[in-house]
Amino acid sequence: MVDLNKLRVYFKLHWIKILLIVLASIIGLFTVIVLIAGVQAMLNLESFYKQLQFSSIPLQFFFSIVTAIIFASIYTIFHYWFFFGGGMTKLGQKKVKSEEVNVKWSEVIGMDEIKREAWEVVQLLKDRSQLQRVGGHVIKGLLLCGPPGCGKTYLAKAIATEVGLPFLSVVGSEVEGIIVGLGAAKLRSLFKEARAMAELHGGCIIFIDEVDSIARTRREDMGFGGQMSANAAVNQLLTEMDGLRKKENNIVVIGATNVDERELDPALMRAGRFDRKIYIGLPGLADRENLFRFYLSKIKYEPDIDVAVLARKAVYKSPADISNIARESSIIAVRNKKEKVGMKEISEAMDRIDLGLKKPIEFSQKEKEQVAYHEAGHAIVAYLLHPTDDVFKASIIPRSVGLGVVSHRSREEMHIYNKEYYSAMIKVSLGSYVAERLKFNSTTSGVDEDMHQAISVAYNMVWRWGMGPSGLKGNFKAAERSFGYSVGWSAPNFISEKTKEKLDEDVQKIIQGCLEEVENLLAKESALLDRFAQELINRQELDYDEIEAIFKECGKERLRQS
Amino acid sequence: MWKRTAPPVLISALIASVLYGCIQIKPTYTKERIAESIILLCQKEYNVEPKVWLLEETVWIYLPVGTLITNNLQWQKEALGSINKVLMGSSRVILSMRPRPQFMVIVASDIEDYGIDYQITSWIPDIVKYQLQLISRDEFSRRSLIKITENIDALRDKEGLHLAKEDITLRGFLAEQIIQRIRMKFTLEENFRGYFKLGEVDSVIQGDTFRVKAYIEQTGAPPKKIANAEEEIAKIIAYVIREYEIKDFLLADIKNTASGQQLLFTRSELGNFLR
Repeated sequence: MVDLNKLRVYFKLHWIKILLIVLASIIGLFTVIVLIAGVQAMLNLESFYKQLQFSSIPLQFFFSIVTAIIFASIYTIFHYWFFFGGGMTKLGQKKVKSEEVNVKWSEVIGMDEIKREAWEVVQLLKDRSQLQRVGGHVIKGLLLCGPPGCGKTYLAKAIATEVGLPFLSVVGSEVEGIIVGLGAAKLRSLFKEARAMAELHGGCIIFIDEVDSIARTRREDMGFGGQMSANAAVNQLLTEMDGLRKKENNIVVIGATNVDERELDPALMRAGRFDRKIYIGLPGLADRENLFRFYLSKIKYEPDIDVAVLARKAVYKSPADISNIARESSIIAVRNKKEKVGMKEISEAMDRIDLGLKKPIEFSQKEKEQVAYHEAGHAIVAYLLHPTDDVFKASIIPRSVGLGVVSHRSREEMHIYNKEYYSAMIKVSLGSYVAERLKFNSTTSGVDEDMHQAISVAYNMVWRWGMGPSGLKGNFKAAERSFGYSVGWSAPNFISEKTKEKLDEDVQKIIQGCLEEVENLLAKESALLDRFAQELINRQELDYDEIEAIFKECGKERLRQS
Repeated sequence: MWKRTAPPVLISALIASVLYGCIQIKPTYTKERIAESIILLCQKEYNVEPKVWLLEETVWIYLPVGTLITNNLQWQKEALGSINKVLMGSSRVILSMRPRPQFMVIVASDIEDYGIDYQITSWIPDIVKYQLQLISRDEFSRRSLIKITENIDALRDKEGLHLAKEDITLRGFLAEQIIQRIRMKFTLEENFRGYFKLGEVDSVIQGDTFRVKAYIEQTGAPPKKIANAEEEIAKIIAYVIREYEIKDFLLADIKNTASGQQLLFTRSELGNFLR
């Protein structure tokens, strides 16, 4: 007796399988019937037509083979081209001879220590025999790290020019594509090309810009395939740089990246792959002077330009920024119908780069006043309370950065920032809010970015650097972050809600404390506030000397860090 | 091991069976039973009942139909259908036998109204070529001799007694074909129709000479590419000789009884017309 219930449940669970089997059976049966009918019809044909059918089989067979060969060839060629030859998004690798690169060593301005280290690499590449006599191995890779625009690519080109080897340059972000495995295939193709060049010319340099695009730490794939492809690219790079190749070839990989080397895969950073790491940072005062001299020498400029002054003004500027300043100032000179670039053009170029383009906005008188007091608040607090920064510019001309701007920065590069510095940053940010409230008894949405800045700094002081008033110490931000701990989107939280409350209270305490100080200062200096704001309304922009003059007239001196 | 050996074994078996099939196909029908086979096939598959005779190398097939032509002097569709069926059935039988006869003659007679004989004479190798699509339908229709004659003896003749059955020869067939081709050219083709008047045409192959006598009167100025009527006839003869691979001929004697012009062409001169 068949149990109908069991049958029903079975059908419910396996209906797809049953349906597929039934369909397959019908198709199979149909195929067999058609075959049998076809064979029977064939057998029943008259001999003439039977012969006709049979005689066409060899020809059909021949054409099938020819068609199969053609399609197989097309498929093989396409497959090879797509996966090993670069495909539609061909790598754009440039096979460049060293003389075409043509960046002389003397053209790399500044970074003397870095150049000394890099020169050693050049010598090793030029004369491997010296090292081999001692029994050493030539370096395989050189990693250039640093902020953008500091000369990593330039230095790589200079190395290539000095060494006199072919130079293959690629951009890491162009390696990966939509299809999984494409990145690894492109790297294979790149290194194959390099090996061929090395065989011909005795060596080859591969320069991978934005190497972090293909050299990040390998992670487990979350199921979408993207990480798998990225991991494959890293693995390929590892193999190519130091894999199981018996033949030693003089290929050096120079990678350039803006990210911290800790974010790159550790296997790549070990000796035998990226043996040398050179950090190329922002230029110091002396290097900036040399850079200005170098880039200005390429344009016509007035002899009264003092590069020392320019170098002091260009703190935290990279070589690319300085090159941009020189270029922009020459365009401004042409626009102003001048034959030579002067200080005015350079100053205008620096403003344009730092502060953005001027916007053609017409303020009403009231709006002008509001912006003027807003910026005056920033300027006065920065001048009187900031321990390290000078105020270089105050402006109420609308630009892309905002309706007005106060530019302040330290005279020299700083590498260590203390609690007083960060407190001063918060106070300067709050200066606009307090000035508006004092003058107009109301505040505007113009303080949006200032408030964001203030709370960000205060947050970091408390959550990361242990500078909160309650005494809680620790990097609570790192402890709270779950990335890297486990796979998945949720992870344990190491901070209690109570601690978080206390930390948030500390943030507010810092802000309130700074706010009180700024309120006291601006209330005390209300005359100065009015004077400064009026000057801004009258002149629109005040530069360093004009700002100094105003404060001196009012008998004020800037705060200096002891 | 089975996985490695299976594919080559299967492929070899397939090739062997195909080759065996090609070599070993036996003819379905025999010449001795040709009449019986054609009648049976036509009856069974086409529902027509012809009469069939084999005269040495010529198969005569007689199909008495009620009416061939309607009152409007149009072909009766049913009759044409029956003729086609007989053509198909008999072709199937003849092509599937060894040895094959050389000629097939199908005569469809109007036995009720007018006493008309509609005769189609075909050379079997031409039918083979047509089946293999080596010649077009048009060319096949030019090669098959079609004769429509009035014959009062056809009336009520269900047995085909009025037919003058004979064994057809290739020479006779070709001579008739040349006549047919000349008629078709000068009466149906656009470049000739309005410019020439065709009268009686006669053709015979005597020994190694093709003799053609035709009455062709030029009534207008034909297009420039047409030289003259005699040369057009020479082209026809040259074509027929080439297509039928006639080896044993030396001369073509063409006479236009309208103009009185007579031309003689040798084999090589005829060959020039086809270049």
